[in-house]
Amino acid sequence: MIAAEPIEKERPAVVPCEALEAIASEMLKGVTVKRFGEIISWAAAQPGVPPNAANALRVAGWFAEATAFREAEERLLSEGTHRPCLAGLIGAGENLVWAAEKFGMAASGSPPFPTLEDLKATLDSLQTTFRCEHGPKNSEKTNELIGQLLDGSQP
Amino acid sequence: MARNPEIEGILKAWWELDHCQPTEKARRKGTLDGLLAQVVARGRGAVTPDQIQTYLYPQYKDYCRELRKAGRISVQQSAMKP
Repeated sequence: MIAAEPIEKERPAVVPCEALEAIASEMLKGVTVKRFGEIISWAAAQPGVPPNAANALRVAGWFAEATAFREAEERLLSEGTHRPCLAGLIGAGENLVWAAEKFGMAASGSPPFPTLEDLKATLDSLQTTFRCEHGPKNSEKTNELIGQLLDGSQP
Repeated sequence: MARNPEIEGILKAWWELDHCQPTEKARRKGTLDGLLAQVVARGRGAVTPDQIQTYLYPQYKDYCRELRKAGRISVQQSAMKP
């Protein structure tokens, strides 16, 4: 009679929790930014959700939108929808900064949750993009000076 | 495309701010602001960080296209592997 192998040897080499993480990631591919935003907004608006927790949820939804914007930016520029999309994102971000400063933001800085400073830095980078893409350009004199500063010819 | 190392460093820090994880945004912004501040100091305050980014924006767009193209190529190459 052949003795059964110990069960320990038959276990897969992959750590189970890593395998589950991969499966969850695949499932999320079907969730659009809009759908994710709807889920987040619904959860944040439920009775009994404290304002600081609602802010944390809304910030998570906003970051998903901001990430999607960066990924689709070139296409939005070619379609002519870059400016309104960016303006909407900036407006929503400003509202979130105001709400987070007034009511707080739960889990701020506890990974994977961003801090208020992360939110402000992202908003600032979007405002920079808006200004550079759609705002006024530098004067020729300013560009000449910056060119000199960057090529090392300015003392 | 060959650029001077300082411009390359600013473009890299700018890209990393725009495309990093949400929890890294403040730190990445600090890096970019530091690099821009060096140029401002060299110009003795005659230019602002905003003006430097406006000046570099066309180069930044090219830089983004280069990185996206390189990313697509590496994805396609890895997909072709048996």
